[in-house]
Amino acid sequence: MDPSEVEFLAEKQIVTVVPNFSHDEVFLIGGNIGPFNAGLPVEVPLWMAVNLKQRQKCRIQPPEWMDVEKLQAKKQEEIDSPIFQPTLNENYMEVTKLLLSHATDDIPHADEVYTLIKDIWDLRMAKLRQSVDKFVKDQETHARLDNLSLMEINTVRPFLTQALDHMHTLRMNTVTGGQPYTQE
Amino acid sequence: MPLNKQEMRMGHSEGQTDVCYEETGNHILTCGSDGDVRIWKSMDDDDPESINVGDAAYAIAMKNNRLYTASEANTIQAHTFPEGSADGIVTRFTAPVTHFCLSEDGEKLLAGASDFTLKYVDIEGSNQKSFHGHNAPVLSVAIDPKHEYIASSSCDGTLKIWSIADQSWEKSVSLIPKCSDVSLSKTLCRLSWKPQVGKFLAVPVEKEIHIYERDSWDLAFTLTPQDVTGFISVTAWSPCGHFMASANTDGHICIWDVNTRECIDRTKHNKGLAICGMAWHPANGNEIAYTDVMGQVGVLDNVIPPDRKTTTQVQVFKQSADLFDDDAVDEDFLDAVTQAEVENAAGKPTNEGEDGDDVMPATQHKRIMQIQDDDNSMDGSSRAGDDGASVMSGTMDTMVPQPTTYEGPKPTPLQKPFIPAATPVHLASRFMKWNSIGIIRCYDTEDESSIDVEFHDTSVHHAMHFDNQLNRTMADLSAEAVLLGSETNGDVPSQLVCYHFASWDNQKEWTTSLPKGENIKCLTLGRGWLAVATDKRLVRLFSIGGMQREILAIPGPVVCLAGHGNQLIIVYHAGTGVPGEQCLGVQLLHIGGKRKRCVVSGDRLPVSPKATLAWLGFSAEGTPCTVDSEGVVRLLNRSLLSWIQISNTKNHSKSRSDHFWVVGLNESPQQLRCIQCKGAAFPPTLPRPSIMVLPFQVPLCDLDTEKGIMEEAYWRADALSKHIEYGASQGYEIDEMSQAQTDREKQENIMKLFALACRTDREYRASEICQLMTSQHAVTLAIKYASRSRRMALAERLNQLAQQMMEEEMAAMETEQEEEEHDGYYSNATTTKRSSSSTEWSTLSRSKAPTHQASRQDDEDDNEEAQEEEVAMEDDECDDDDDGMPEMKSRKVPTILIKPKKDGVITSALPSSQTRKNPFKRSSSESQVASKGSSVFDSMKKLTKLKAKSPPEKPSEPKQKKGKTQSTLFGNMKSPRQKEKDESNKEGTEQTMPVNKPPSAFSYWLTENQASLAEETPELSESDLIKLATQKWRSLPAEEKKDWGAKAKRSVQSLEADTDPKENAAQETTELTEGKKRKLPHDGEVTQGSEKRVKGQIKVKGQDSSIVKRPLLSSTNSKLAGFAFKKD
Repeated sequence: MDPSEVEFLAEKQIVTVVPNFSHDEVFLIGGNIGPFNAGLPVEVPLWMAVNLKQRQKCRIQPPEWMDVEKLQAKKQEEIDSPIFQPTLNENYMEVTKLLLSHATDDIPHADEVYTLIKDIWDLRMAKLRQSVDKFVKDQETHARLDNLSLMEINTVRPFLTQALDHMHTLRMNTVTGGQPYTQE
Repeated sequence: MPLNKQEMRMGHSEGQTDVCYEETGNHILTCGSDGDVRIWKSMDDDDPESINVGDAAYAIAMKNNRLYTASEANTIQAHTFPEGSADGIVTRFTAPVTHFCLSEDGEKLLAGASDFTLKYVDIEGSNQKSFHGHNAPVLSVAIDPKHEYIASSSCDGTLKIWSIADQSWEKSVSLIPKCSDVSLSKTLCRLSWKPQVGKFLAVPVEKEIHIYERDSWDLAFTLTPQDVTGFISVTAWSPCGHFMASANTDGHICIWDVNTRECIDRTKHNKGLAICGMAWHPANGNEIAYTDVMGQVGVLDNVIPPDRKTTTQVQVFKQSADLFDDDAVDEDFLDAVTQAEVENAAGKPTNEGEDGDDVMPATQHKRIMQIQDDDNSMDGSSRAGDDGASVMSGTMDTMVPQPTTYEGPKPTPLQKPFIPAATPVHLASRFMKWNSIGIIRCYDTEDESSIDVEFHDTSVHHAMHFDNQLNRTMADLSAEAVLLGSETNGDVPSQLVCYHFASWDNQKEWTTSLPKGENIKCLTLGRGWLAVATDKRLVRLFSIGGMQREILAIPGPVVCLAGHGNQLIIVYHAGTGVPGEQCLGVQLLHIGGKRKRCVVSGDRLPVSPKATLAWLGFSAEGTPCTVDSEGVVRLLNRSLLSWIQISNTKNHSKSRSDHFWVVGLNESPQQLRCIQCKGAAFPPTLPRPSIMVLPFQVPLCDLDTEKGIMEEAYWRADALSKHIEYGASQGYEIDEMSQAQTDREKQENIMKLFALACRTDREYRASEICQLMTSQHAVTLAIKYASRSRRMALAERLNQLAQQMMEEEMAAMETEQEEEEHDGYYSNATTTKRSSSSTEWSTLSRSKAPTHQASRQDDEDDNEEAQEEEVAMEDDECDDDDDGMPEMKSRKVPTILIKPKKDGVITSALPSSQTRKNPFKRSSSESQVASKGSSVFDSMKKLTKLKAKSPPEKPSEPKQKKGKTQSTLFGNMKSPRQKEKDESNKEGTEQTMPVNKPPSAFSYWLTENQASLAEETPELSESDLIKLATQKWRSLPAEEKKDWGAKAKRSVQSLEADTDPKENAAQETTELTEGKKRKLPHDGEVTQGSEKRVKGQIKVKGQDSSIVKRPLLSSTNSKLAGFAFKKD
């Protein structure tokens, strides 16, 4: 899966925006949105929020978890634990990326938020790499990882599965190839 | 005797020190940065007692045998005197206390701290008031001897005079250089009030002393010492109030005669060190103790030259002082003092009478009074009266020459005028207005002073930015204009500026100055007009273009204004309320438009106990609305002209200090728009607050029960739908959608309530509930419900009610008197009915969704269809109620009405086919009856199809029985018009059955068997007979029915010999497949008339059969029969 596809899925998430226009309810396949009242917060999908923001039609209210204190606590939690902790939001990376690239002005302490999210991401990726490493070295047949976000899974999936495939064929080859050798 | 400066003593380590006298003046107490309090018996005392109070003490005061110190630990601590044991903490701050002072009676303590706050503490009680407003650590504080005001100076350079009651400042002037901390300040800026009356306040300002006059807070005069280099840091009035001492940072001490404003004497610190504490001897008023920044303590004697005071008085006091001296070490120190003083006082009333204006008497008197207060339990203080008290009571009569003035309850301070949804003026960045149009923000910093206007909807206007050099403090915003107002500022009169951005000419802005001496207090914008209220109790109206209009005088000081459309609401002080409460009057005027009138004149505005008005405005629909400081939201009920509480925002706040700052409200949808402020009463401008929506809730009882919930929902909907009526009366367009919606909600709730009352055996209550019903239809349903649940008494009553309703309606229709008065619940019902829909179908169209009506193609069909649907409805209703959950069903009633109609395809397809038939054709009486009955089933079937819940098969027996009772019950209550329609309906249904059409199997069977049935049951009427027949027909076995169907076909064939047999065959085929689609190719072949016939029959057949639930069987059968015939 492409990261852009993951992002596309993440855009379904609902965020709150304050529109600066008034409009009746919009009927979409995914559900009805609105009605929009200028100045009154309304919940819309992220894609629409970003679109409205690009056209300067709204202000995006930062999601509740996108708060420096909460992120710091989360980061600490992630540092303290050897295993993956439940994330603040299942698409935290994508949402952060989108909001911070399009609505920096609406998010208080955007820089700090970005740094913290990046830290959390790095911590989790490190854990993931570590566990993959351990998995491969111990030649385990299965492993269980909880609380991984789609984006995180997506970063290792193409490579890991292929690599495991290769290793498997190699191992099989050594097994089958070794047989005649030893027979000789 | 010249000023005598005694040798200074080293008391403390270097740093901030303070000094005070013990009450009698026998001891000098000092504190310093070493954290010790030293008690000096005199300047010769080589070994002063010392009490450790903490790490460092910044200020000290002593009253009533308690010693108070402000210590490093951010607290003010009390210690007993002279023992020095800790006696509790008076108050706490979040930063070190910089200065505090005690009131003259020693009951109140005022402290200022480095955390920018002031606290005014009741020492005996635990009450305390906080004062926020300084932007830097507080330097010094002072309590008004009359306990009305307090004064404070701060490192932010300002002097503020606060009103204690309001907890807000009255005056703020920037006087001294700014700094960031007390330790960096060049001056301590110790303020002092003139004792006893507090007429003047002395403020050391750089090298001068400014004397401010009470109440006006204007600068009365200044005292300027000559030849001094440093800043004046400390001022202190003598206890008599005629003299003042000031101390400089360069060590100069000057004594002033305030009356003549001259410097009597001056001296200088030996080392030229800064003086940081100074106190007058409280008893003789002729001695000053002072401390410097090096921790040294000094005393000045004979401060006041003898020629300026009468010596006799001093002599007397010297005596008394001596007396104390002897007993000073005694354990009963205070008692002795008390007695001595009382003796003294008692001995010299004549003396007092003689010398009017001298140093002592007032002081002395004060002190006697004070002792009384302390020792006499009469005043309610906790101190028990001891022997001192008995002395007191004995001497009371003689020693209190002045009559005690009666002290009634103190009048509550009047609430100040305000702009709704604006934050306090003193903030550096604040909201000037937040409403449904936009936000006006004001920034008032040192380098920038500006106003920003931002519109929620950018299509109204782009954001605006104004310079605010003229210090506009009030603002309002509408979709047409921005209005700004300023109060008188020096020579600039109070001004009004209007940016009329919606103007079509090029002059967008106009300005008006008010007459000199008149200040704008409130302002508001309406549509096409604006209003300003001034302190001259005038409300001035202007047109939006700047033309002056009416001037209204209002009966009291204005509190608030609000405008909406052509309505103006004015709230003013109508008088003094009961203690602690405001007494607000309200006027509601129609001032714009053609009809100007006063809607509410001078009523009292209700607010919660001890609360003030916090917001005033209109709902988006134009109903006046208030919010008070307790968070209670009230809405004006126009029919009663009373206020109804529709919400309490405090119910939604999580903690007590949370507030909801209301910015507006909507009635439909029901929304209270507000901003949640955590731990504050108003929001900050940054981070940008976001609006949240709160629901309404009428505070009825038992809101945790089903009944309570429903009642609340009904009355809330009722209260919030009044605007529709009002809008209509004002000639506004009514949104029929929303109106229908609210009506439906109300009716739904009523039905639920009715069902609940029935279920709980509250029949009387049920009948009461029915009186709230606005439509006959609803009552009809209620009757049915009642009769079905075997409540015949109730049904009877309701029947009467329905008749009454009908009569009233008829009477109303006949007379056409719109303004006719009805009493009780009916007035509501009938008026809304009449106003909302002029059609005769009022009951139905009220419950119909407008979209449905619009979707109708043929208007002429409406009547018939509606009638049919109603009949269908009623039948459906009977059926629904049979299954297990009667209350659930009846609750659904209004929705049932709507549902099928919304589904346009199905509803319009079926009945309209019937109505298209030739209306002039007549049918035989039999077929007429039969078709009528079947049409009932038709529509019923249609509904049952739509209603997934209702079981497809129903026992026909109970249904019929019920149908009977029901028809007898409400048969006689049909209005003439309805009857008329019934007739027309009959006619219509007659028309649906043309003479020549092939009768259904049923009708054929009926014609054959009617006679015998009639014989069997002679007591039945014709319609009942038909029902019975229907029932019997159903109970017939399928085979028999088939036979009858075949017979019917045959009869048709024989009758219509000329008709093409093919057509008949095709007809049967379409019947079988019940398809319009299948009919389509057929259309070309047949004539118009026969097509109609076909359609009609198909319908009747199809539906008939599907009800019986053996549809295919019978129709196949008949079709086969037809086939067979054709082949023949």
